[in-house]
Amino acid sequence: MKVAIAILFATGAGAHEMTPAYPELHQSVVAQIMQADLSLFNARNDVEYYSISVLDGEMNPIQFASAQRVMHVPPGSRKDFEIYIKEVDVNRVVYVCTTSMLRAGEENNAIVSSRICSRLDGDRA
Amino acid sequence: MKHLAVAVLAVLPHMAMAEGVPIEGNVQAKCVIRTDRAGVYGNPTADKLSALAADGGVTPIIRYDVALAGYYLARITYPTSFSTSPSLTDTVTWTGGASVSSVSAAGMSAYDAAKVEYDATTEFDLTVAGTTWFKVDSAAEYGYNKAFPAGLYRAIIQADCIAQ
Repeated sequence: MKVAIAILFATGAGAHEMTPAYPELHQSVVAQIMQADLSLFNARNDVEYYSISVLDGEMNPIQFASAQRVMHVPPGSRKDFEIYIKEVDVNRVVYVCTTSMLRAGEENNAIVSSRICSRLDGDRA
Repeated sequence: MKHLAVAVLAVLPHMAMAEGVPIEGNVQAKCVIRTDRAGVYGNPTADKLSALAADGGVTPIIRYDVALAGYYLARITYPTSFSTSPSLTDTVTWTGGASVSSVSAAGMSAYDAAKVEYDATTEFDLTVAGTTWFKVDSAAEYGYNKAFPAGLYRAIIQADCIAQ
């Protein structure tokens, strides 16, 4: 019976960071559309793409717009991004999250998925 | 008049040199997730894959850095399926959990006692600023004493840091 080395994590150490923890929603240039500005720093050598999601308090997705749903953030670089939500959704929106995207089928690729969520519903509860 | 102009010109560069160069910083609530140690499944028996050292595996370590106390929850979910594996025809039973491995501040030692576990997820309230290392146990058993087919097995751990 032979089982090849089974990997739980790859060796690629690094960090995923997103700020601010409590971004403020402000009026965008388009009427009835609110905007929040965030920044992501990717120090993970094993990840180049991050997806953005906007969620309610139960972690259910809420419609939003952004220049890109999946951002290319090369290791060691920072990316500023904006999300836009409808004014009618402001009271439902709680989290904006970025999640590391893992490439399927690449055996040397990392397999820890990191997700960081900031709160859009005001300062610390 | 000419002398005065020369004098003024001579003084100007010195005035410029006297300008202070500000360095500003901003400490804000921030969470950083790092993967500190690779994890590897050992294969202690034909039907079992385990990341425990006692089973020949390597337990993965995830590091959380928080700049300010009490702003974030760490939520770690051990795998409940393989992302890569040979074809499996029987059920796989998953077990695991997350616990504190090392801390940078004494107050963090209480995290384990205060952790909340549900399904495959363990939640820690990061009430102290600094760095905490969490180890994640994971094991998979195949069928009823059934041998795992040969091949590469891979599973994903979800590490979340949620502003609260």
